[in-house]
Amino acid sequence: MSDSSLLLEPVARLIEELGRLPGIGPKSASRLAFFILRAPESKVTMLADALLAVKHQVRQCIRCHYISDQEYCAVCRNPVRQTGTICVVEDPLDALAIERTGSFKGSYHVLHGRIAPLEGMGREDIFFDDLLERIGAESIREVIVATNPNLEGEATAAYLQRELSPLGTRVTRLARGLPTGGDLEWADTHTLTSALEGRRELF
Amino acid sequence: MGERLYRCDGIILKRIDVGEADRIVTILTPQGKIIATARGVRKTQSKLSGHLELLSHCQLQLAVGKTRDVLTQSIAVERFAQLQQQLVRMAAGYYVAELTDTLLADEDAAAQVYELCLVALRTLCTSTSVEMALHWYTMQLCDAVGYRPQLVDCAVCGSTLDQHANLWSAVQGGMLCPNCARSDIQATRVSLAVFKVLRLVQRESLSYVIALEVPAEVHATVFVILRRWVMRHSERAIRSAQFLDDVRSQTF
Ligand SMILES: [Zn+2]
Ligand SMILES: [Zn+2]
Repeated sequence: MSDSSLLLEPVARLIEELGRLPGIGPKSASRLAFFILRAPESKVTMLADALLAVKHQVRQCIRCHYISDQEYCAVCRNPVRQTGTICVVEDPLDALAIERTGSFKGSYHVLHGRIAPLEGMGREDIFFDDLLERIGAESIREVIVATNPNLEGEATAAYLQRELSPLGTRVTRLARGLPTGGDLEWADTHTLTSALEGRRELF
Repeated sequence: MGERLYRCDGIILKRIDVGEADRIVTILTPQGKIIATARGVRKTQSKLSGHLELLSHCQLQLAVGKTRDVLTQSIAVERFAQLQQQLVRMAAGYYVAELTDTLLADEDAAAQVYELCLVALRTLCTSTSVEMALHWYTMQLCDAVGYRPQLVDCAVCGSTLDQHANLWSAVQGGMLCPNCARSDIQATRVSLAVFKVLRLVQRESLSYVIALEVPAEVHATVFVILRRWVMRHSERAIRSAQFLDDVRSQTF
């Protein structure tokens, strides 16, 4: 007997949808599905509303591609933030991690990915050309590359360096206080702050 | 609970993120390829994290698992750090990792491929001819896993090839003598220099071929020939090839 006939179609469908989420395997998906099945309807409605709200009310900042509820995100709208310095990150969560340190006063640029040759992810799959445009339009003096301290992050940083330095922009990389192989998102505030302060020229 | 542990040397060929902070790692060892789980490695405070980077040469300890073995310890003995210091070397490293993972299927060839891979990575770190090192590794890898092209005798009739041979036929499995030209009307016409480079990277050591001066257009043709040869046998695209082309075009 197949799983879906044993499970009823709506349950099987929920498990399938949950299983598409990153980090959720078939076992976790089933567990979540049965949790939702047991939960009171009011709780499930709240969850469903939250899911739709994030889709309807949140979009990407048209300048830096960080998440926003308006055309420009809170950082880009803030008049106190310095112009002239951009911190480039892979994901919105990485921008959030750096923002929590409170030591960075410029603006961000979220690539929404990284150059990952083994996955076939190249320059056209990330917000790279937008960054080039910004550098020209906003007369950027320094680009701090805060991609993850692993090989893909280094490849992305090296690629940015190669494309950006001919434009006369200073390109720096977070200092090696960060252990290699990890994700920026997991780094603690203290480590990140010192990595920002000790940033170095690329190559 | 008696966990069964074992140790081995290996080169990291691939990492796939799973769950919150785990990774599934493909490792080339002299005994074969191992696909293992590394728990918590994406947390920057993880002990394992700095010792499982792509292409690192590591001493590993694993615990036998039900579906997949679990990495319990890893010490990087060679990190090939120079690969990270120049974009084209980095691209070459990815290419080596993907080729190896794609082409190595059975355990018998693993010990030989493991040695070849180490030689290639060490050379890629220091050599000025990244292209020649890649030709050599691709050819030697093909040889080790059973996809050796015919470059000494005609791929069709078996007569000994000389300097008049100028047709490469992937379909027939190598170079053709002038008499066998009709056997593949789509065969690629190649220069004597290309033919020579193909033969040298098949026959000679890496330290020998690396010293040879070869014009850029010869490199370009050898690249295309070997890449199509690999794809023909692996029946899939080599994804990192595009990145390699992208950075190669400007750096050499
Ligand atoms: Zn913004
Ligand atoms: Zn012949």
